[in-house]
Amino acid sequence: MDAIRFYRNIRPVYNRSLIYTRLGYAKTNTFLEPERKRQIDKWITEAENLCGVDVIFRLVEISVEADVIILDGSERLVSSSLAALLGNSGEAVLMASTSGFRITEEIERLQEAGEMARALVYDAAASEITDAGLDWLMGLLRQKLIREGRALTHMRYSPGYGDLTFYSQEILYRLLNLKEWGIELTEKCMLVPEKTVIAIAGIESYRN
Amino acid sequence: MTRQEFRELVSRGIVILDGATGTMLQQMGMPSGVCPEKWVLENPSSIIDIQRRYVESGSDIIYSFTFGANEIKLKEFSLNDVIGINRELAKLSRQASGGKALVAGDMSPTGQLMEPFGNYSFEDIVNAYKKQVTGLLEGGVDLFVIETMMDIQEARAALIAVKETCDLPVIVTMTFEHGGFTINGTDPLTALVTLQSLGADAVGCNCSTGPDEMVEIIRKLKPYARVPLVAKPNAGMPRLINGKTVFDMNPAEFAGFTEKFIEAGANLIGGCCGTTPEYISEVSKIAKGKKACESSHKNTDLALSSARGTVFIGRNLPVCLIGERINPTGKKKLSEELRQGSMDLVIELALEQTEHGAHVLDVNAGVPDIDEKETLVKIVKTLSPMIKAPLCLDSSSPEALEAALRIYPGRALINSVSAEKAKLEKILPVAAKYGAAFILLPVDDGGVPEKAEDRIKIAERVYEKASEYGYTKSDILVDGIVLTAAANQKSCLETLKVIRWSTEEFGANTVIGLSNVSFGLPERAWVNAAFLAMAMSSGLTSVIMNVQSEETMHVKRAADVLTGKDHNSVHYINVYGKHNEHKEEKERNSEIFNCILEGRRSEIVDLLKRKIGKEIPPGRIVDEHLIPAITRVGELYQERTYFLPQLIQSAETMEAAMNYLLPLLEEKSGRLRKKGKIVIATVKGDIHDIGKNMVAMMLRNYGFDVIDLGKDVDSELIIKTATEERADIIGLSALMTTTMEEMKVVAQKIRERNIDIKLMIGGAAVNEAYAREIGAAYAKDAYTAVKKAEELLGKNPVSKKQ
Repeated sequence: MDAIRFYRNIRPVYNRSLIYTRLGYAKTNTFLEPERKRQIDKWITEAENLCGVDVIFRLVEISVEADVIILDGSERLVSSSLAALLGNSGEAVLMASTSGFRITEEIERLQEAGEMARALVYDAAASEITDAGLDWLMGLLRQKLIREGRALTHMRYSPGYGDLTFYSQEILYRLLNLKEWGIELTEKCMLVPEKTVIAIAGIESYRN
Repeated sequence: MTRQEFRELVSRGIVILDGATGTMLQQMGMPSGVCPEKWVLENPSSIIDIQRRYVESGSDIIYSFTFGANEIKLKEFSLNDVIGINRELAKLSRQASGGKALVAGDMSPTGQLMEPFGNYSFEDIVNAYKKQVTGLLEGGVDLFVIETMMDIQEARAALIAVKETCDLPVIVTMTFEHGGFTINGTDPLTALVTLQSLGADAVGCNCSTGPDEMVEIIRKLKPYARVPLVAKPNAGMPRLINGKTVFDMNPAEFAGFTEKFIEAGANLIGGCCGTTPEYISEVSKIAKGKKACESSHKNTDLALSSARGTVFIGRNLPVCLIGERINPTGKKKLSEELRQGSMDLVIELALEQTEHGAHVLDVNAGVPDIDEKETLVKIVKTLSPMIKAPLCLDSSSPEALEAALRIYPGRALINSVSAEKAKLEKILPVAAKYGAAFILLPVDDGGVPEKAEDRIKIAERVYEKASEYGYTKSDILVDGIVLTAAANQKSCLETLKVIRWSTEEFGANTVIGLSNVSFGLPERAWVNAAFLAMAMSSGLTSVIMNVQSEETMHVKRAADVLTGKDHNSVHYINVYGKHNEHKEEKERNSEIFNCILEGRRSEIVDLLKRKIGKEIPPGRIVDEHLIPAITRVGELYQERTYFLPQLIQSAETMEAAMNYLLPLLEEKSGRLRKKGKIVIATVKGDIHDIGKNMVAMMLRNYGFDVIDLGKDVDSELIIKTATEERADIIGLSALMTTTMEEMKVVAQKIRERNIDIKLMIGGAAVNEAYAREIGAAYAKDAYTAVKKAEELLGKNPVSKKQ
């Protein structure tokens, strides 16, 4: 199995309008006064600066049998939709993106201080930025792989998507050794810090 | 090859580059996992064969097989002879070319991130590339190509490495993701502006996309390109067919885009992944002997860039705002922070100014007793990754400017270059080396000339000197020099004369430092605004000012309309137009109503203090202003005129108002009677509670008595509390599928124990169907929770248990 690799404190490009969409903004309907728009944009930027995005990844060999994906020769994920996605892959990339504790602590503090709207915007921004960490990583890998005649699958899967059970988070958590990064997994498979996301994507290659 | 010879080559017609090499070597048996450069040195005939075929196919330039031969990449394979490997590989390409094609020394990403994102400093990367450059030069390359760059800062480092080692021409091509950005957010135009000003001889893109997307990139770049453009696309997109990666275009389809590239303005055309000598041959047949089309509307505006964006300054554009506030002169707090090495206030000022519309940020680190160079570099390092606006480096220290320009990942503006001997001799060469634009300050060692005519003479002198370094009028801003009106009223008119001269005769953009004009006068904002309007009518194109001054900003926006710079008044209408749509409603409403409607929490208590007693009793405030206002907010949210942050801001304001009013309201009035009691919690095992907290606040605002048990709450505690408190509703939240099962547990316990209580659930993982399945009501968001609670207890209910 490939070594665990990482990039620390990256600043992934994120789409601000997706944060607005998460918050229910409707392009044709919502009216936002310039002053309030400025304030929300400022909160988004503040949240961005509180997110210390680290991405951690590892390549693993996989084999797919019916709806079972065997990682690294032993770990099993069961999901027909993921199996379909990885059907042409002999390798997969396991990846995690975390925005760290600073942002979640600040969201907590804001709620306690009664600044709910600001907390809400921070929360939505941090979710989007954490996701963007995985986009960033996939972009980087895509560029490297294409020169080797290989490609990433067009999408990635996170536990909880489709029929990939949320409990499979535990397997990916373990394979990425996220504990070493100070990331906890609760009994119910929640990741702490909250703004952490795990995913898997396939690597397609003619060598398969 | 000299840079002039390169320009001449390109001017004669389309230059044909080579195609893919790595994938061809794999097909020729290069195993996976090896160092490709080492394998080629061990199997030299492979590369010679491929490159000969490219030359025979029409390639005018072939790339040495040194894509991954920089010090950092070679170290991954424990190879240390960087110079030797590059030298020998370059020699192989020379042998393959047989003198029929030029050999470009190929450089590519190190695969590492630079500070602040990675462990390598900018200088580490420059030095790593310099070793590669040295080897390639020893191998006899004719020019350099820096390709497949994903990080503009790394591209800059490679370009600087070449330029500090030799005078050969350099081509730089970036690779862009779908959507047109590098993974670090640099768009093609920004890359072009940055790289061509830093001295690249040709700029463009390779890899990533097929020719269809790349044609559009080239077309968009052409009006702004001062250097030849390069297109080296993949053979379409990779697809997996019968277990093999193939690119979806054949040579004829690929070459079918050649005419489009020529028409879009590409001067050098080749291929990247998936292309072979057959593809290049087809392209060559079409392109040889043709010349790239020039853009019919060449852009001559002054361009500045950061890592993630470009700003233009020009006569037909709204006046460019340069935020003035990151300047410690006369500012004790900022001076002190800079002295202590803190960047907190710098960040705050940068964010505030960009949020208020600054297009460019002036940064000055001139505090007595500090190391200006170190501080300016620290400011640049701090702001560059987080601020999209380009920076204007404000310093008279050549050392500080050089250090800052070297690591600035874009094209900066320098404030300023004057005819003072020290500046002309030391700052101008530094500015030119890094391709920075500059503010031309028409003063000399004799000081500021009083008369415009004398300032103009100096400006011409400085420009003449700058031209020797390759500067054009599109690279400078002429400063009109604003003096204090309180000291010399006539000086303002002299400033305007300089602006008019530069606009009408000289043909360069202009700038003023606005705030000086009002120094010493009361109500400075009016003086500033008036002078700005006058300067704009004289042709001003940029201004250094306080963008947080509302008066000045109003006048600026209006003057942009009146001078025709804000085409069709689009920007003005965007800012002010929608105000009117809601103006009528606002005018009908009371101040208190509007305060809730607009979510102005910080103002509500003071407003209530003013109104209570004098005008309205507390009870009427609740009935006639607060409740109608929050009801209206709910309506606006439902019709999606408001989105969630607006709803919550209004709720926060309402909460602040009620907290203030509650002690003043009489119990007997009945206004304190609640609609019902709700015990609310995030279920056991779930640690996300922001959604639940929003719901709790909304329910309180709408008159429910809410007992919030927090997050990760055991079902027994929820049931026990609800029973003891005689609650009407239990509200549960869960974010994950792993925790929503706890809702079922609570529902079962309610049924088994025959408790007379309603259950309402919500959260990201929950839906209507699941709610039905467990016998609960479903609320999809905080506002729906209010409506659902009212519905569960009857319309506008009063708790039966009170």
